[in-house]
Amino acid sequence: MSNTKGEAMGTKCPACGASIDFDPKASKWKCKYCFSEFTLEEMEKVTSGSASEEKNKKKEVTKENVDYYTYNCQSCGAEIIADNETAATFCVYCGNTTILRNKLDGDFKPDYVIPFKTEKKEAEEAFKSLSKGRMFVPKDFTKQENIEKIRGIYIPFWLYDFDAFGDISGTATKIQSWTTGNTQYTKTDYYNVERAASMSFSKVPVDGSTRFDNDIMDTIQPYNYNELQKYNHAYLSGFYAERYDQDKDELQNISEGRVKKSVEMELENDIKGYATKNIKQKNINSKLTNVKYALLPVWMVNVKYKDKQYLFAMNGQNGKFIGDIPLDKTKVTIYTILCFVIIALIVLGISYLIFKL
Amino acid sequence: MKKILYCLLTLLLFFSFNVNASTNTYERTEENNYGVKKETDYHNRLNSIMKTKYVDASEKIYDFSDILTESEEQELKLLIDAYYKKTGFDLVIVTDNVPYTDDKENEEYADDFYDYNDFGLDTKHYDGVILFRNTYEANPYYTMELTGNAQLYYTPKIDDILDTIYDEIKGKQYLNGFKHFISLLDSFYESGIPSEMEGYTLDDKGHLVPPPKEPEEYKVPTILMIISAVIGTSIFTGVNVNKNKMVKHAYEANTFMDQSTVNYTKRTDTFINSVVTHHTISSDSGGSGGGFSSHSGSSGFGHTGGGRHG
Repeated sequence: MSNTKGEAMGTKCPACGASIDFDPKASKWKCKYCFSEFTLEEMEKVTSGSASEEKNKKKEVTKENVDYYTYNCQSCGAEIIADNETAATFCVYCGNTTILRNKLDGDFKPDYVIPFKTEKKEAEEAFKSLSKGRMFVPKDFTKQENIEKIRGIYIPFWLYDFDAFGDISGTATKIQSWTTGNTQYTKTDYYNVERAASMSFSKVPVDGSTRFDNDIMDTIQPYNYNELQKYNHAYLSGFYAERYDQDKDELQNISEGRVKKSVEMELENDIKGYATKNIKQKNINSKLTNVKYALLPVWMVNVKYKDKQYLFAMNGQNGKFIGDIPLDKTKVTIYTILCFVIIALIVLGISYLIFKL
Repeated sequence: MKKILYCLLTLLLFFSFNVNASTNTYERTEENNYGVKKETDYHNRLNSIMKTKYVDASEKIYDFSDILTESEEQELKLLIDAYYKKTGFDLVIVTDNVPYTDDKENEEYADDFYDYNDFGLDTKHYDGVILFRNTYEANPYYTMELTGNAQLYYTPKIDDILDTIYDEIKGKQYLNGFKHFISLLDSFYESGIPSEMEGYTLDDKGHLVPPPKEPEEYKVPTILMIISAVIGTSIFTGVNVNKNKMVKHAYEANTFMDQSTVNYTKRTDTFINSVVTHHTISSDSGGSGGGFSSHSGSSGFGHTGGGRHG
């Protein structure tokens, strides 16, 4: 139960000093006031200069079991309240992006970032087109009014590298069948099969924040890692950002489990040309070779429908949009009955035609 | 003197009962149309026709093997006449001693004998029954052949009739055997056309024609409809419900595997053994029963029939 007072950093235009945001389309920083554009290098000079000067002021305030931190907005000086995991937010008074610098320093300093490449309205459009090709979406679910808040958030991910080795063995069969006279013969050949291979995995992502559903974060994968950039605070302008609250050791077993499953699949799929396979022994090892911390861009869309919240997420890099849509039970019932009746009638029709012929 | 007369009388009586009947045959010539009155193209069949004995069709009993006495023949003749009067079917009993080893030859003999003599001449399909007893010692045989409408009454009963008279024929109790034969025909006639033959008709040549398949009544395939609708609807609803569920748990990391690093150090497939199993395929030739059909005699007329060794 603590409240820490820190200093916030607003990303400012190097030319006019006004607040400046990252433009995903142009991959540049654009100033809305003086229309200046800046590249990463140009922004780095400004932001790195101010970063070292910042100091944290801590102050404890008791309020339930959550750590609250207060910051002063760099633009208007108003107080901003954020919890411990928020690394970038917006000033409720002037609306400017506020990057809580100290949240992403030291151990929390990300190694990489993939900048947003899609825009807010694309996420909105993706949400609105959810009903296309889906019969059971409730009628007004995809209405604009349902969209509570669309936020572009940099989500903390751990990226694990593994070297893995697997060894499996078992029996497999080939089956031949032929008929002589009225006797059917079946010949089953039994084989001992063994496979062993080594392979590497790079950057298996695991969402490092307990605040986001792991399955949603897994489903919007994969990101194109060719666009990984060395981390710079400047990318966060215009977006929210979170920092991890589960460290790399805590989540390693999740990625390791996935890696081992993949090794097993690879080896099993290599046993080809058999009718049946029965793996009796498997031995799969993996060794962690590297872990990196990266912020990956996600558009989060919160949808309120009939007093329930539904969370949708869009990959901020490639626009892959996912989420579970509620079912319109009336539509499901009507279409199911309709389908049943139509199929029954078709079968009736066909059987009558066959009978007539 | 009285004694002698008595003896003579007894002797005469004895002879009159035991003298075997002789059977007259006639010559087939071009003038008498080779003895064929039935509508058949006899030019092509002259061989068969000439081989067939030409007899007086009114006698009904042709005992070439001499196994019946005159009185026995007379007794049978009375029965046959009564049978004919009742049924309109001709009934012929032939005995002969011909060295046939093939059952087919016996049947042909019977068919030809019936077809190339004037039996059944007063009916359209030459209705009638012939029983042929071949007394050839090396292969004794008897066969009954049916012609015309007699096929409708007796075809399903052939085995039954042949089996019933088997002991008597084999035991050379011919009179009893033949009497038995006639009475069986008589009683089966009384029971009418057996249900198996219902709907059968005869074509121009006297071949059995199975009844035309009655158009079945259309039945609504309720079970098929329900099953296909349940399966189809489950797929339809399942696929569409699934479209609303996009979030999936990741349990593997295939996308993050670096394919170029996959290096196999072991890839062995060792043959252990082979096992061969076999089973007999039950030939499902449909339980609908084969139905009945006539075979053609050399004359082209349809007959059904069967025979027994013994």
